[in-house]
Amino acid sequence: MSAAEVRGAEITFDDFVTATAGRLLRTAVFLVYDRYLAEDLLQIAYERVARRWRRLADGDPEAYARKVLVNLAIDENRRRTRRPGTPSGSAADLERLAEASSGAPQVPMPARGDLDEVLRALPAKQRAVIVLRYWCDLSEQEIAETLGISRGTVKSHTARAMAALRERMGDEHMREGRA
Amino acid sequence: MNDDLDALLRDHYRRAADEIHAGPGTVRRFQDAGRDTAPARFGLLRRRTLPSRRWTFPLLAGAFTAAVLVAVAVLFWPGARNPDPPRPLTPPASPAPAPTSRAPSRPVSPVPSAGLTTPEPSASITGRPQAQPSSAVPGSR
Repeated sequence: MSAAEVRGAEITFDDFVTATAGRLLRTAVFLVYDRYLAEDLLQIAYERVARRWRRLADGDPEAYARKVLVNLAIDENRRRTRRPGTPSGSAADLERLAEASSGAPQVPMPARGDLDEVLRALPAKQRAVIVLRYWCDLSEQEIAETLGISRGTVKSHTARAMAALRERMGDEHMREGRA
Repeated sequence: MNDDLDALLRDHYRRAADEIHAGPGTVRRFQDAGRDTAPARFGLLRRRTLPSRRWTFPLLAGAFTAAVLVAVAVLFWPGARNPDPPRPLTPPASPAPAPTSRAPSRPVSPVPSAGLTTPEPSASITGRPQAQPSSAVPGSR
C-alpha cells in the first residue's frame, strides 16, 4: 500500500503498520544508522500514533508517524553527540553493547561506504533534512512542517549539508585522482 | 555538481533501502506495541462519526459559553453593582402628618415631629387655672 493509499483510507491500525513499517524503518535506519535503535524509535512512534489513532485515521497518519520518528531520531543523535560512547539507557542498548564487545555478529548496515560516513558525520538536523528530501521525497514545505522549522531554516540546513557533502566527496575524488 | 550530488544521494538511498526490510516479526512487534498502548482506540474510521461523539464537544462548548455570558451579564449589568439604597416605608397614617423637608433618598427612621407629640394643655385653651399649691399646709392663708 502506497503512502497515498494509506492517507484517507479506512484502515485499521494493524493495516497501517503493515503498509508503512518497511518505509518508516528504512527512514529510521538512515536517520540513526543503527538497526536496533531504529526499530526502538519506530516502535515509540507507532505507539504515539496508536494513542491518537482515531484522530489521525482520516488524515495522514504516516506523516505524523514520520514526524515523531524524525524528531525522536534528532533527539537521540543529539544525546549521543553530547555523551558519546555511553549507553542510551534501555535494555536493548545494553544488549547491543554486550554483543558488540563479545564479537557477536551485528545486523549489517544497509550501505557502508564513504557517502555513509559523510552522512553519518552530519549534524542531526542536517542529516534529517537530507533524508527527508532525498529518501522521502518531501518538499521544502513538508520538511519544514515535519521538523517544526521554517522553510528558510530548511534551505540553510540543506545548503550546509550539501556543502559538507560536496567538500568531503570532492576530497575523496581528489585523493582517488592522486592515487 | 549539484545535480550529480542529488542523483548520487537518491541512488545511494535507493540501493541501501533494498537491504532493509521489516520482517513479519518486526511488524507484529509494532502492531502489538500499538495495541498494548491503546487497546480500546482501534477500529474503523466510521466509529468516529457517531452523532453523539460528534456533537459532544460543540454542545459542551455552547453550554460553557452561555454560562459565561450569563455570569458576565449578571456581574456587569448597569446598576447591578450600585443598587438603590433602601427607602423607608411610608410611615403609618397619623392623625396629623407633619410635612417633612427631608430628602426622600436619605434612609432615616421617621422622627416624630412636634405635631405628633402629646400636646401639652395650655392655659388659654383649658381655661382652668392650674392648681398651684400655695402652701404646703392646707388651710393656712
